[in-house]
Amino acid sequence: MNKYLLILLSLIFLIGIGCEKSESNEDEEVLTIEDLLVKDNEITGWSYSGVRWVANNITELTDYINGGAEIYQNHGFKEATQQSYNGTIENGTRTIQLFIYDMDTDENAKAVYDDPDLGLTGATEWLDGAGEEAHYVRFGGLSQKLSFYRDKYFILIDLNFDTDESLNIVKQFALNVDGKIQ
Amino acid sequence: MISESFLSQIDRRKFLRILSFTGLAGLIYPSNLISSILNKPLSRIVTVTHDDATSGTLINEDKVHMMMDIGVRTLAQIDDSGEAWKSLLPDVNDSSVIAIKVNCAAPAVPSHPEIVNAVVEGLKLMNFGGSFFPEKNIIIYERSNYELQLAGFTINTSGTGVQCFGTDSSGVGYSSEFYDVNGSNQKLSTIVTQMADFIINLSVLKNHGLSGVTLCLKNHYGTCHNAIQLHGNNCDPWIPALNATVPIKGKQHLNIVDGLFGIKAGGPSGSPQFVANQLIMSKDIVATDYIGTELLKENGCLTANAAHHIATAAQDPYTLGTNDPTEMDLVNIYNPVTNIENQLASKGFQMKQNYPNPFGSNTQIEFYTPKRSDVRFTVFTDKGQKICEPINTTFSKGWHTISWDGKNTSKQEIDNGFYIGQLISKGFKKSIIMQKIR
Repeated sequence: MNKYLLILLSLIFLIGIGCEKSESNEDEEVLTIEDLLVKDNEITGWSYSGVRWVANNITELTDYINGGAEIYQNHGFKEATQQSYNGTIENGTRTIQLFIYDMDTDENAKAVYDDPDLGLTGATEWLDGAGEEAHYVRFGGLSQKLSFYRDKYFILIDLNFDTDESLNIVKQFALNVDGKIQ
Repeated sequence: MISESFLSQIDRRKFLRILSFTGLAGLIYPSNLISSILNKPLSRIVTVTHDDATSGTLINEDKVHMMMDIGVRTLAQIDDSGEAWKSLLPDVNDSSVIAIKVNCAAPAVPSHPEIVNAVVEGLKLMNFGGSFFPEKNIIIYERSNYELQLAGFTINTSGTGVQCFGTDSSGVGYSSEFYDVNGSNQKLSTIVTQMADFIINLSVLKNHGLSGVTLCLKNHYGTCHNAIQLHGNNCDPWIPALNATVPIKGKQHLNIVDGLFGIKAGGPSGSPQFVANQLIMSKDIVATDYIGTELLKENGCLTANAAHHIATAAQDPYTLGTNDPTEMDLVNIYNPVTNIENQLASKGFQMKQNYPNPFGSNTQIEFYTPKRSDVRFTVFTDKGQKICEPINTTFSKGWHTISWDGKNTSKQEIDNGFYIGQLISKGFKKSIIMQKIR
């Protein structure tokens, strides 16, 4: 009888430990870089297009963005993901490309943000916008680029259209991602 | 042989202007004169710009086809489109395989399918004893199928129709042989090493954070297997070294920059940032990239000065071309009008390029009339202003020669520069470009 009681108590003890561990994992809830992406139709009217990619090393990143990967490598690149979205602005289908880079440290993220090779030199500051700093460039009716950084993440958003309305959408994307990082 | 018949419809509002490199570099002496002094062959570069090539982000396919056709005929200095293409691909025959290296690294600004189609249509005009060049012998290629598809191309490995696939396509891959690229061992796409007899390099107008610009020279980073090793020191001299490898250097005969749209900052990825509505083409890859870089600078590209690989490519040991404007014969074509050459040629009229050209005090123009005809020959400036009308009379059937002394109607010698000679007869109108030098 004692033997069975001992086994029963042991089982209860082990189950207890298992539950405790499970609760502990839920508390920590480790996010992946993909969890930071704007979800399908999370911003009304903007749905996934193309194939999402995740790059876990510089070789993979090079496969996706070619020579542009070097800039990130120079600043401690760790991981990145990209997702495209299609939506309608002014009766035309437009595409947003959202890139999220894990640069390993806050300092690296800011260094990328400030790197002139990214082509955002002279950009308009977006005060009180997303991230710790944010800025954007408008390319004469053709496209827009917005970037910001928060913690170890550097975010770049590219839209192949340029109006005030489209800039607001780009900003919504930025704020959405920023909210997930915080 | 030369007769710029696309000038046959001169529209003064949208006038076609031909300028020497002096327009670009601000130099005051004509390139051909320098060439004669130095006894060096010039690298001919043609740019074709059309304001209506794009509308917003849309591409006018008819216009870009015309631009390509005019550009190639001007580059080859041959009127017939098919013959012009053949002349750019030495010893091409109907069993040759021609690979077109496109650049799809930025899906929103790729080598546009419309431009590639214009190249394909041109190649298909090559006639070999009554049969045209088979489209199944044309391969559109890039590093991966994924990139091609994102850029709007349809993968085709069927063996019929124009082929289109990436090096990562099943059964393709990279060479087993390594090529020394400035100390980096690189495998090249078997499309280049095994399949193709000729390469047409069709790049895009973009800046690049490391190499300064990415045009035709850099385009072949999509041909080798491990390009990431080739990015140090602004990619210099790895870019020239890659282009100097035997398969690439030996097979590449034509370089085209798709400059309809451009990226001037933050490249090579991104969306279009400016409109240039231009094609640049040359057999000289260095000259092509030099002119493309100038165009990027004109549009505010701040990284272009980092593109010192272009100068390196011109020097020993690479000597892939020239980056010296005085060694270039640059022809800029603006807003060309619709080509009606083929309709007119059928009537039997012919007109040859003036000789000598450039000319000093006198030049001659030969033409043929298939029957007794009234013929008028008029000279215009490149801005469409009439200079003189050396001939306005009736000619019998046969060959005739017009002589022009380089003077205007007041018998004053005209300034140095480019002039348009236009021959008009009933049902026939054709123009040539003449260069006056003292």
